[in-house]
Amino acid sequence: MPKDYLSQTQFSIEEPILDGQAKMPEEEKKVEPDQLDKQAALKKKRLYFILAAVGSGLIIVGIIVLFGMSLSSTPQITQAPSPTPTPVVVEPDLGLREQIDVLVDEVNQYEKPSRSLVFPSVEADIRVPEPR
Amino acid sequence: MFKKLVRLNWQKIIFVSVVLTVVSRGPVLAEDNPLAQPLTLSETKRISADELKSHAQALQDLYTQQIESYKLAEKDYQLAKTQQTQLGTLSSVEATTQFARTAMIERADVLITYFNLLHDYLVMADGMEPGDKEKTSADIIEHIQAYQTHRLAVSNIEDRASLNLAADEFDQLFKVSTSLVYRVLYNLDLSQMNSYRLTAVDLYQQLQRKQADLPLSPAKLAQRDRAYLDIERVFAQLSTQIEFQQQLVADENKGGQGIYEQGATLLVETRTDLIRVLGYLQELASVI
Repeated sequence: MPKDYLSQTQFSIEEPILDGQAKMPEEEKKVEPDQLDKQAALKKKRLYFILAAVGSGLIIVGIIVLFGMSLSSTPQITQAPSPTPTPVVVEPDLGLREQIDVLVDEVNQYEKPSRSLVFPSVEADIRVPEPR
Repeated sequence: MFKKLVRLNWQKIIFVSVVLTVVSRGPVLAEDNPLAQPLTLSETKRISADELKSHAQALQDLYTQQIESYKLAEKDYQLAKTQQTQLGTLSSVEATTQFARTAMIERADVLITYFNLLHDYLVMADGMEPGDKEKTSADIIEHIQAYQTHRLAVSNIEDRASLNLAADEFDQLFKVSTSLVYRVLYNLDLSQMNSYRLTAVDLYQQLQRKQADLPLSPAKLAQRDRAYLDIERVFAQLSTQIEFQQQLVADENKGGQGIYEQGATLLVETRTDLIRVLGYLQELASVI
């Protein structure tokens, strides 16, 4: 029976593969745990990949949600009309003493509004004399 | 909201364009001039204080142009009248009639614009009783309408006799004008003084509120209360004076010029008292 080297490449070269059926199950038994390890590793890889994909997906979704929230919240503050107008605290520009001083100046410089409204001097008697 | 904004903007554009058009033209006759129509009190409530000031300024400019034009027309009339007296010809009578007619129309324009300007000042005045303001406004508007009627009548007249009849009507109207003008002018002066008084009272009340929590000794407190009493006495005096002057303006039996002259003396007293009480306020305010 010819040797099937292709299927036995995992064996070391030093270890001669003996022809005989009795040996084969032993050899096969040696291979099984390795394959299981490989499968487990593969499964782990897949799991890690899935976890990474889900994680990164969640992160992306989170970023999008946060970005969306930040976008939608900005106009709400600036555009939405406030239910009650913010009371504008009008601070007088001048102190009380200054306001009194300003009024004193105004009264001292008081000029009657009537002075800028002088009644027009018009000729009250416009008539055509009787011809003589 | 948008429609309202658009409408407001259009109103402003129309208003400004009307004012600019009027100002940019030469002397304008009353009948085709939008400024010849007075702004009613309800109309003035719809426009801003700045627009009202622009309106008054446009009227002032128009008035200056019209008075210059009128003075030339009056000069022409006087020359024609002198020539008519000297020559006594039919053509000189005709020339005088035409110059008199032009002068009468321009005179009416000047008076219409003047009363419109007076009305704007009345609208802008502070410290006037609202009822008093409405009544005075109605009087001025009625007077403007009377001049507009007179102007229209004169512009339709061609002959000398009818022109002289219109001149007789003008005499009556002008007497009322003089009385009304002085009454309104005094009212404007008084309302300005009253506005100062009201501001002073407001400042005094603010001062009292500020001084209420000051930690003062009983002696200082008593001194301050005596100062308050003195201030309130002057304020009461001012209030009585202004009330009396307001009644004086409202007295229909008194002529405008008499009121103006009597009121001018009273206003001097009121101003002196106001300056005195403001001096007290300054003194008290230095304690804050």
